Amino acid sequence: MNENDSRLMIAVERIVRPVFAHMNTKLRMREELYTLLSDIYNEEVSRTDSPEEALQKSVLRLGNSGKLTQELQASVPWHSFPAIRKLPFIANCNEDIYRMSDWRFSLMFALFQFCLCCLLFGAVALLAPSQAIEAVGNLLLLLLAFQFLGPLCFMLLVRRTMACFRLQSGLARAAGCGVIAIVASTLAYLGLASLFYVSNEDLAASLSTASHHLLAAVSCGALVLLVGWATQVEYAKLRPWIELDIDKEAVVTSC
Amino acid sequence: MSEISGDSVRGHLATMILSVLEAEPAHGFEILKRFENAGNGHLKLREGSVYPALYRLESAGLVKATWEASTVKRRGPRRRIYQLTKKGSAQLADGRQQWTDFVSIVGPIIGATA
Repeated sequence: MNENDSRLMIAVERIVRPVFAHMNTKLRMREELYTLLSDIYNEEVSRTDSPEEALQKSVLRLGNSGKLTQELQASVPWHSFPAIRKLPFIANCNEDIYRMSDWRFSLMFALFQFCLCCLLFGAVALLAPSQAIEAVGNLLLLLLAFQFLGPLCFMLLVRRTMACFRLQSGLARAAGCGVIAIVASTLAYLGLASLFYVSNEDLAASLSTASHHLLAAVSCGALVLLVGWATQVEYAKLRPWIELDIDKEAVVTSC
Repeated sequence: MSEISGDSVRGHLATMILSVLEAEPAHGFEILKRFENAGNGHLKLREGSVYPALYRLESAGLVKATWEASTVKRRGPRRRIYQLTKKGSAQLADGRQQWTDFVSIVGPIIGATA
C-alpha cells in the first residue's frame, strides 16, 4: 500500500469510524467509500500532475466528513446496531471494543453451544433411553438456562473484556489474555459438566465420572479454540482500518 | 446555466438514483457519472452522499446490491453493483409523478415554467 492509498483510507476512516453500526455494515461502508474515493482520485490525477492536489480535490469532492457520518448513521437500520453503546468505567471505547461487544457473535456462539449440548443429550438418551426420557422436560429448561443464556451473557462479557485488555500492552495484555482463557475454559467446562450433574442423578451415575469430564473438557477446549479463531479472522478483516491513525493531520481541513 | 448544488436536490436524490439505475445496474461512481452526463456537468453533489442514499434505498427494498464478480479484471478495490427491484420501479413511477406535480404547481407560483 502506498502513501496515497493510506491517506485515502484515512479520509474514509474519518467518516466511517464514528458511525455506530455492526462490524460488517461498517466494513462495507469503508470498502465502498474507499472504492469511490479511489475512482475520484484516479480521475483527478489524470487532470493534474500533482498527486497532493489530486488528493485534496478528491476529498473535497467526497464531501464534509461530519455530514457524511451523520448521513451514514441515519442509513443504519436498528438491527445493525451493536449490543451496548458505551462501556461503564472505560472512557476509551475504540472500534475493537464495539466489535468484540457485538451481540451477534455471542448469539451465534450460544446457539452453537446449545445445539452441541442437544446433540450430546441425544447421544446420552440413546445410551440410556428410559432415564433420559423422564428427564427431557427438566433437561430442556436446563439446556436453555445453562447452555444458551449462560454462554450468551458470558461471551458478551468475555469478548468485551478481551477487547479492553487489547488496549493494554506488554505483560498486562499477555496476563489478561491468559486469565481470560483460563476463566473461559473453566466456565465453559462447568457449564457443560453441569448438564450431567444437575439434570438427572441416575443418568449422571450411569456414566463414568472420567468419561464425562473428558467429554466436557474436549468440548469446551474446542469451543474456546473456535472462539479464538473466529475472533482472529474478524480482526484480520478490520485490522487495516482500525489501526489507521485518523488523528494525523487532515488531508483537507475544511470542506 | 448556473450550477445546481446537492442541497437543492436533497428531496429528489432517491428518485434520481432510481432513474439512472433504470437503464442498467451501476456502482456508486458510475451513478455519479450518469448524473454528470445527464446534467451536462451542472449538478454538483457531495459525491459521498450517494452511498447513504443507496443504503436507505436498499433497506427499503428499492434496489439490491451484489459485489462485482471476481472475474472482472480491474485494478483497485472491488465494487458493489446496484440494480433496481420491482418495488424500486414502482417507486420510480411515483417519484416521477410527484416531480411532475411539483413542477406544475410550484412553477406558476414562482412565475417560471420549465
